Amino acid sequence: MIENLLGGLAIIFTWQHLLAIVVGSFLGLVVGTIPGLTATMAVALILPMTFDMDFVTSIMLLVGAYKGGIFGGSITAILLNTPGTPASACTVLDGYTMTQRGKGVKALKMAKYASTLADFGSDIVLIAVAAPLASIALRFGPPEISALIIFSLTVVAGVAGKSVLKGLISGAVGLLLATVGLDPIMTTRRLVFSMVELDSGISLIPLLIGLFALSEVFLQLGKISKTKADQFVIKHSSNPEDNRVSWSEFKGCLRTIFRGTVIGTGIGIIPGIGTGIASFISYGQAKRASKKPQEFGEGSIEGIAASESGNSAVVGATFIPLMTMGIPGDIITAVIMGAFLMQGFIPGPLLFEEHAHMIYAIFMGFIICDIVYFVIGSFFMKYAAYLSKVPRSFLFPIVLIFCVVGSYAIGHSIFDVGIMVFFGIVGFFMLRYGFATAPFLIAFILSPIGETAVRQSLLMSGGSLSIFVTRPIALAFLILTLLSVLGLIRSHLKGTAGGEKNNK
Amino acid sequence: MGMKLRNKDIVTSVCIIIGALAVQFFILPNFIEMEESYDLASLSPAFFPKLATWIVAALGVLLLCFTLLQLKKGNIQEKGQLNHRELRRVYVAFAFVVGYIFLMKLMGFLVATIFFLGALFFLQGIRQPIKIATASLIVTFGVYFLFLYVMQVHFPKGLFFE
Repeated sequence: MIENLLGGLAIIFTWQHLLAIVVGSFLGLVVGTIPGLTATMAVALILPMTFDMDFVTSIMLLVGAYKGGIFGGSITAILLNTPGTPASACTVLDGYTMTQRGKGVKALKMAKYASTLADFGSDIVLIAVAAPLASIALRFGPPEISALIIFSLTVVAGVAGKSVLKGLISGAVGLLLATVGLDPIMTTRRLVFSMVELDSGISLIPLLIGLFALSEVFLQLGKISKTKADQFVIKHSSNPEDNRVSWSEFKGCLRTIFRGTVIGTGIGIIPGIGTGIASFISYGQAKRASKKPQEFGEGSIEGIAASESGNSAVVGATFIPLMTMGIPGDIITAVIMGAFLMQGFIPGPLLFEEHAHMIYAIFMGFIICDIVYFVIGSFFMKYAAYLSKVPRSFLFPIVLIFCVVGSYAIGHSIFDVGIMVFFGIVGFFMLRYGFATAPFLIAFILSPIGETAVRQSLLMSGGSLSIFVTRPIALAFLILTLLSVLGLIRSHLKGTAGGEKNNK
Repeated sequence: MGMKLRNKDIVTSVCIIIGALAVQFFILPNFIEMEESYDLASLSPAFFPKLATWIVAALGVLLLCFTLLQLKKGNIQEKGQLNHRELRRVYVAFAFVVGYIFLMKLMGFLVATIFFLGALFFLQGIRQPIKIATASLIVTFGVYFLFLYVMQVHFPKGLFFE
């Protein structure tokens, strides 16, 4: 591993890769800071621009945007009571209260320290466990891969939205739409409706720009701004103590940051759960363990450390299932998986065999990203509040133009723009009717691998389904699937019962 | 409100079931090229699409049953994200975007984008013509030159200008 790490370091230290990290982090911070624009949108819109770049540069640009976007969301959460991204929703609780007391800069600094440390911790776990996990995954045959994909899709569908059933429907439709184009085994044309453009399937990049960026733009275009001018008045204290984090305060939060890192990393490894939930769980646990739980929600610096460490630690960990098994852990890693595929690299265990140096270069890039957004974030925080005041009436039409141009740029095709608009409208209605979009995208991406694996398994067994239960690893994944389905049904029924009680 | 939203879920699940059955019995047999009969069902190119469609239909039925059950219990669902007036603005935006793509084919990227952006700014409540014109021109030409010279993207010139 040391040899690979050194090889990775040699690759990553070129001006192109470092510039990609700086630009990506900056763009992520900018987009994450603007309420309504999410880190997912940042990554989806930057993706088409990476088409001509080399593999490592393109991934570093996107990872920078991902990490910067998550941190950027906390800046407006603290200063303006408006989380820039859903991941920072929990940071608002204490962050904005501190800002109202003139301690906004202290809150921002704590958020920066907690985010960077947690992100770094999560990256170390990624580097440590990725290769051993990948070597286990290498032993997987078609039945194991099929069972793993079924397990991942069930978990993602179950936890990504409010309704398990709608999540599963969303995933199943993703599986179906991914079959458009040539059949992977017999290479016959399927569901192309005499359109030559569909022979290679529905283009992934226009689909994801439509689903995640355009649908959100439509939603925001519909909303009538209710922002009050007085929201933007930021109190600033002249007391230097209110504008810095003292060593004793930092030391007091270290345990919380460590706990948040463990929680965030654990949640990041499980596909589909995401940054928002990690942040709330970390916050809840920190409050339970704190000596001053009454201060949580009233401007507690520990609360900010808990929330920010929880959401930031998810980032590195979500790459563990992607890099080792080719399963994206959340929407953003699904988008980044799109970049891997666009560059001709299939994420999964074989990457460690065939391109180990490049993978370790990306891992080292993750750590450089942490340092870069820590440094850029320090300068950026001063101006972030102004950026979030960009009028919505100008902002969203401009983002829409970037959606159009981004989807056109991939293949110089208006047909791709049409695909993007179609999925933008579909995504809008999915959001409106409570169908989570994450299972749809993840199923769409995993469908070709899943289809090939299922059909190969059935060919191996002469059409008998017993192949999935006679191989131990496949059986283990199927049992896990069953357990997770039972768990989801139980929690769903509990929630319904709770709802009934509340209604009474 | 709760009842109304539950009714919406009933309509959604019925649409899903009908859609899945239409795909299963009309679209899949007509739009998948089947050249020969296959010894094993899993060899057929229609195997996976059929499987996925049956899953969608089954889940649609489950959603319908679950919704009817909840309706009986009188559970209340969360509010929708947009009201009627806001929804109307979204539908207008849909129409603008679809119109923009057709306009781009005819008039090319530059002309279509200037008009489209102007219309969207107006829809967003900006009423000063100078502001609208300036912003539309700056954004359109900014994006055009950025993508043309940095990323070598050549935008459509339009049928009338080729």
